[in-house]
Amino acid sequence: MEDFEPRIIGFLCNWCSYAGADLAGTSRLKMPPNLVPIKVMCSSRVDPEMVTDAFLRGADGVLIAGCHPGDCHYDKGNYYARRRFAVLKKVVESLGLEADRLRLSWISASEGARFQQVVEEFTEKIRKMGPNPTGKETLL
Amino acid sequence: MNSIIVDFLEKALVSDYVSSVLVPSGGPDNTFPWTLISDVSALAMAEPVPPVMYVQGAKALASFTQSMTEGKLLAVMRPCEARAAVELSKLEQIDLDNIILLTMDCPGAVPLKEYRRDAGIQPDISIPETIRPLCRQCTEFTSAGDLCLAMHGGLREVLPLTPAGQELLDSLGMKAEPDTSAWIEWASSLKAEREAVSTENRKSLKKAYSGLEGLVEVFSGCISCRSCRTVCPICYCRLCFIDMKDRRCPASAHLENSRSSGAARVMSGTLLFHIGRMAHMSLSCVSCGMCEDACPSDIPVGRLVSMVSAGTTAVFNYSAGSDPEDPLPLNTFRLEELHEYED
Amino acid sequence: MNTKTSVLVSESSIGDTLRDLLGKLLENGEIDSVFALRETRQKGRYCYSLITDPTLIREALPFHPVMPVQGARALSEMTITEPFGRPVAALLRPCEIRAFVENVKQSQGSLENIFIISCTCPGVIPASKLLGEDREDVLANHGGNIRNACRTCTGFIPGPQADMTVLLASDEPHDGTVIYLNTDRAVEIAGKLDSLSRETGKPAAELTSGISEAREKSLKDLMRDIPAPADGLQSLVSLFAACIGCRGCREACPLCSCVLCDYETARTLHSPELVRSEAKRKGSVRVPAGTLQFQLGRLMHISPSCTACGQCSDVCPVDIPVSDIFIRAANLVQESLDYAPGRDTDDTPPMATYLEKELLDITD
Ligand code: SF4
Ligand code: SF4
Ligand code: SF4
Ligand code: SF4
Ligand code: SF4
Ligand code: FES
Repeated sequence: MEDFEPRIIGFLCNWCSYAGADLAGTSRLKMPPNLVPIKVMCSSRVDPEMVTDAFLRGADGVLIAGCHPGDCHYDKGNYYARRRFAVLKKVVESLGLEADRLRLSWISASEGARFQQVVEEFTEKIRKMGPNPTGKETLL
Repeated sequence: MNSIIVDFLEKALVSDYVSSVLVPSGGPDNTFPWTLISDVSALAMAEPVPPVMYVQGAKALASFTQSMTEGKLLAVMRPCEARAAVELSKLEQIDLDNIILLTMDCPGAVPLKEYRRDAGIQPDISIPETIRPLCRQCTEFTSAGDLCLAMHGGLREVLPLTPAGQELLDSLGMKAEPDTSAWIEWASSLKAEREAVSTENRKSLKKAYSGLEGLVEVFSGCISCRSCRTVCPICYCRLCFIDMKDRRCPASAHLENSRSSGAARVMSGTLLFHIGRMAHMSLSCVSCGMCEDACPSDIPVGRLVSMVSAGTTAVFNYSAGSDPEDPLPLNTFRLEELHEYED
Repeated sequence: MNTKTSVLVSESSIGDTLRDLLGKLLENGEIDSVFALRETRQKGRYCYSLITDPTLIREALPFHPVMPVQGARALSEMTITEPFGRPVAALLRPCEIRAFVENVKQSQGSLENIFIISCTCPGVIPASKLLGEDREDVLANHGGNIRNACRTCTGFIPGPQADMTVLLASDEPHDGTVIYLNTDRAVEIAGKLDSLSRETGKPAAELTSGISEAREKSLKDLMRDIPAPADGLQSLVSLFAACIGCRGCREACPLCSCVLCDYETARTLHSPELVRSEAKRKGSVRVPAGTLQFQLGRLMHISPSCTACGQCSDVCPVDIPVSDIFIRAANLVQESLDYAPGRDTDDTPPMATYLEKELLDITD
């Protein structure tokens, strides 16, 4: 699996994490090209079924990123998002699927460096895990 | 058991404290449709605890109680149905304000398809083979709702569980205060037994169908009929996420899937449907087994949701349908919690 | 009616011949993918698949006598938003083609780039019969185990949309494989398959007239025996008494393609006030209300285009003979509207048109 390049889907909240990603870009921080960002208005917009869909279609990792607790643009969205994420993780875990391919991170608009670090770390972790077997399953 | 309940319903209807009753009645061809009864004479057909579950009681109740009832409604249902009704009230699909739920020591229910083949089978709590797999591992087989008809520990008595239940008994002048210790003994020992069975079953289910391979295998016979969802009391959405237009998987996406693995199943989204569904509703699953009864492909879908539900409810220490005051975990939060899930 | 006589023949079995043919077409790029049945990891359970890897064609089960989902429904899922960009070979039974043609007419799919290989259809086995351990015996006694709908199906020779027709059901048992070339495209493709020889055979209808007669007779029996609304409300109520409201019949039906069925919308819900006042008036009412309303409504909506596939009966967990009822009604409706579902992509759906002078016998 030496030439394995993980494909990671990132649901980034518009107000913090997407802006953080932007900042990482404009600051010319070097970043692995593995994350495909999808802008959402708030981390709480991410229905678990969107994550499941990406996961089952072969995304090697799925990241949800939003404002730090207390900073959500809509006040409490990320607290709800955290609960939903916990449920999804448990569902995936109970079914014996690889819950480690899912991650929830809080990244503010000013944390370009943190964004870079999260993406790098997550990419490396997924690289070690290898490709998501859902991508090769013919009876899915 | 049926006649005790019918007598009770009759008293309640006659007393005017209750203006209508929801109860299964005997129908043609060994069926037991839910009936909303206002007239005492119609109670002659009532079969309060039929051997099977054709329609989950909470689903029947929700079909006409989204808004306030005028006059009190007394609904007789199995404990899992009453618990689903509580969940549905939290989901704002049932207005429980004027509804009194009467449950019983549930004997379990015969698997629907078996019953359709042989209507002679009766559920027997002491013979696991006569009842559904989920009934065999059910730990909440009694004491749900406002009142419960106790049939074990030497009792033949309707016991109040809530102030609303007590109020009904009072208004009917039923004052008995029986000795319930033997009954409690019976319930806790059966509960312990069932807990062991359920842990064991969940373990072997998880072992058999764990991981992608296992899931693909167990759902390989799924024909996407969505009956499991349609009959589930908790799945109340009119339009499920899986049926939405933006969920459509076009030819090009199918081809892409197919190219990456050589072949792709069509009527895709089977696992997405089931996992997405579990993520949406497993917290409220009452393990009633209705979904499994409805599945034409005999997939143990209820046991799987119930297994997942054990995992998700544990995160929030939640118990579906137990306490009407306990908010749905996804409708609330604490500032400091779940740190192990975030970074 | 199929009058074509140009055929490809081979001495190998139908399965091997088709797998070989499909593999070659995939390899030489004539087609891009194959839509066919495969067995899943559980014995006796099948699924439709889109196969692109020629080596995986070995897993294809051409015309295995099962219909896990109605093929039209699967094709519609894929082509409702966009047609196939490159040719796909689809193995479909006649009722699946008919249903898909109806889908296309109702903008629920596209036939573009779909090369259809069909068969003279001996019928399929109800899925529930293959769940048990005795499935090998059931499969071996195929003829005795087919769906009710298949027993009464008189449209078992595919319509003009089929590019190729494999002679599967025939009065006389035959060895090897016979494939009719119905369209220019089929002839063109056949020209590139040198392993199969070209011959002139008898039209499929001639080789299946016995089956046709038997089916006509079963259909007559069904028309006579299945209760009609005219037999009284009670007979209908009893027929659907066991209905658990799972709506599996609707979900499985290729014609029920609405995103949100009428009978799930708030409009057709029975209001709480109505249900309670009905209970007062009659002393007792069945809830959830609307079982018959749903069934009759579905009859209204799709009987003009019901293709008699039997999928609805197949999924019903309480064994209500849904398709018998639908097929009976569809026959009457389609006859009076002079409409045959799937006959021609250019036919206007009967409910989307009218004649100024028609149906005079039902008006005054
Ligand atoms: S998922 Fe199945 S067992 Fe759980 S509440 Fe719904 S119907 Fe009952
Ligand atoms: S009822 Fe069974 S076949 Fe139908 S969607 Fe659910 S699991 Fe699949
Ligand atoms: S499949 Fe059968 S039980 Fe389900 S809605 Fe249709 S008729 Fe009723
Ligand atoms: S109503 Fe039944 S028989 Fe008719 S097309 Fe639909 S599924 Fe097939
Ligand atoms: S019954 Fe009618 S409204 Fe419902 S899905 Fe079928 S055609 Fe559409
Ligand atoms: S707006 Fe960023 S998490 Fe809610």
